[in-house]
Amino acid sequence: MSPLIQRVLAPTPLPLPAGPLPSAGWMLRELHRLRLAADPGREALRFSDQVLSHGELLQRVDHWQERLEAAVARIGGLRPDRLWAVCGSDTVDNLLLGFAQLYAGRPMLLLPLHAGEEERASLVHRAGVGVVLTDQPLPAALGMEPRTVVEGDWQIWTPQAGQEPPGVGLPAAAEPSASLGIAEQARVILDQVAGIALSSGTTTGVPAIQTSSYFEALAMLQHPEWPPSRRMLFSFRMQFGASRNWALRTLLEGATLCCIRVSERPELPELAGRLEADTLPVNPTYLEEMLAQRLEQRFPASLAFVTGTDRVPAGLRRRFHGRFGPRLTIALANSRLGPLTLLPPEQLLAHDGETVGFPLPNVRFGFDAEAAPAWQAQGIGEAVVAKTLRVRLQHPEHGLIDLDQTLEAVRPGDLLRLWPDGLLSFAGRANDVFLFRSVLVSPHEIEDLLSEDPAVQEVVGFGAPSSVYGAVPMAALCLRAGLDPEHQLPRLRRLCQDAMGYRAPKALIPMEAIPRGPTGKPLRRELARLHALS
Amino acid sequence: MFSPSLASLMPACADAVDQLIAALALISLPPSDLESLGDTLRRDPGRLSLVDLGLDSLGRLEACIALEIDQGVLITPETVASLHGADQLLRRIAAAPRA
Repeated sequence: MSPLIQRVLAPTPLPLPAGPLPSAGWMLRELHRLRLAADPGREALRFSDQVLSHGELLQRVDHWQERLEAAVARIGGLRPDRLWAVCGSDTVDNLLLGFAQLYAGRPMLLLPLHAGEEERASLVHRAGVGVVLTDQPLPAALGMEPRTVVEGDWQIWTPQAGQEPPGVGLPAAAEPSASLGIAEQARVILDQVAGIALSSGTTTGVPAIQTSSYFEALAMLQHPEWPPSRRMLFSFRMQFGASRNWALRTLLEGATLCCIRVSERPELPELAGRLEADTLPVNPTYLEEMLAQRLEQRFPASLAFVTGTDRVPAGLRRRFHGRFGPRLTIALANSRLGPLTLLPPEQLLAHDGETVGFPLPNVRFGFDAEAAPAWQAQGIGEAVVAKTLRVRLQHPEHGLIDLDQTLEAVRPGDLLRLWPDGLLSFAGRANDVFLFRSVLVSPHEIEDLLSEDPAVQEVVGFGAPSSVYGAVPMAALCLRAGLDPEHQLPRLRRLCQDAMGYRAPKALIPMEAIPRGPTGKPLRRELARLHALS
Repeated sequence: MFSPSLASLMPACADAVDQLIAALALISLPPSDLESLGDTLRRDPGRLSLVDLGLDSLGRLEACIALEIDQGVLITPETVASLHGADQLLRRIAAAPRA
């Protein structure tokens, strides 16, 4: 078994104090404290020009927690069912406030900064946000007003009179009954909501509000699932749920997080060397950029690259492997379940470079062949996933408390193939694949073909909806600089027809840049909407 | 010569010939000599069947999509399948709604 995968099996019991069980927030903070106790001077965080040791980090988190409690007391307290949201810029304090709220048992919703005013207002009302913690003035559409300063630019805002949120708010935390056994009591405590995030809507097409529990947070920290990293280099937006979770996990695992602002991204290669980073999470778009700009000459040889969720096409893997060698680890992951598989770098090109790795030991894959009948003959089915999370606590009087929780029958919306050697291949997104008349077409087939052509810099396939044909295959593409679309497009169209016959894209749409969402994923649905037929 | 009904649509049908030829050029298995086919469509379209134009079931599908995407001509493969000759097809294209 790969060391990457063995690593997720190592259990680490969390020691609890004698007497009644502490709160879930206390447990997470205690895990944090214990992880850094051995070496509090170790560098925890580099955020642009700021540097914090693990010891300083926890002190700053505790400081923010005190400031928040004082601010809440100044305004006469807040109802515990009020849902908090955070809306802040890319600063260390934004991250530290996240820790403080987590340890205080207050889950927070991240308000996406990229969203428009109306979208943010709608989210606030849908989710029932009753408190916003922000370091910038909020738009009037939110119907909120500043109540008190926490510290510096950070303020607490609450709804104006008559503007109370009609939404769901926060489910009340259940109090464990003393008549329950110790394990059941621990489970009730840990089932409390710890995180609230807006999903990207890749599966459903509609961004959704997702909650995660303290149980999930603790389990994922006790059984680290991502490849080990000593110094992770991270370029992210603080208000993205997945980025923020990854940052929290990296820090709680005792590693060093080297954060840079998105605006500093062009300097990433120089920073990787200067900060001595050993790991960099990337997406396929950035891999392409690295290859195009010959960035391998500037990245240190020790740097590993990890990509999750987004598919890494075989052609891109071959080019990356040829240039960088075995330095790319791939994970199939989603915002709900975290990583589901890992592909060790040495197997990057297995099965023609189409695999996403081995299932993690706590993940079980089932296949619903009937959900994708046209793919059944090729051994492809829609994945139905079960993931088991385990928490291990140590109580002075009750001894070891082992808890597990299985998230059953989750459909991430991926079409997968299982090979005899246990590797899984990604065949497409169940809802990216579209029906053209009676034939299923995968946009990845279009993309694989066109991305191999030297004239094509980037390409995204999609099905443009049509009342007559179901969906018509099309592709939006960026040609390399200096190439003439009038000459290239007919040639590429013929290339597609020769390879794909009548399933070939019926329109090749030249673009300056492929439209992408905030996480870098191509906006297939937006392209499909723009190019819909009658 | 055009039939009288076609003659009344002559300017529109001249456009229709160009539109049809452009669409036929984009199907997976286009007719081998589009230039001479264009000449025949202009002079005596009644001589040509849909099969002569390469419009089998897949060809009809692709040609109709090309007509809609590239020319804005809304005509379905089912409509084309109900026709018998190229002259009928040109009349339908000339009279078809535009996207």
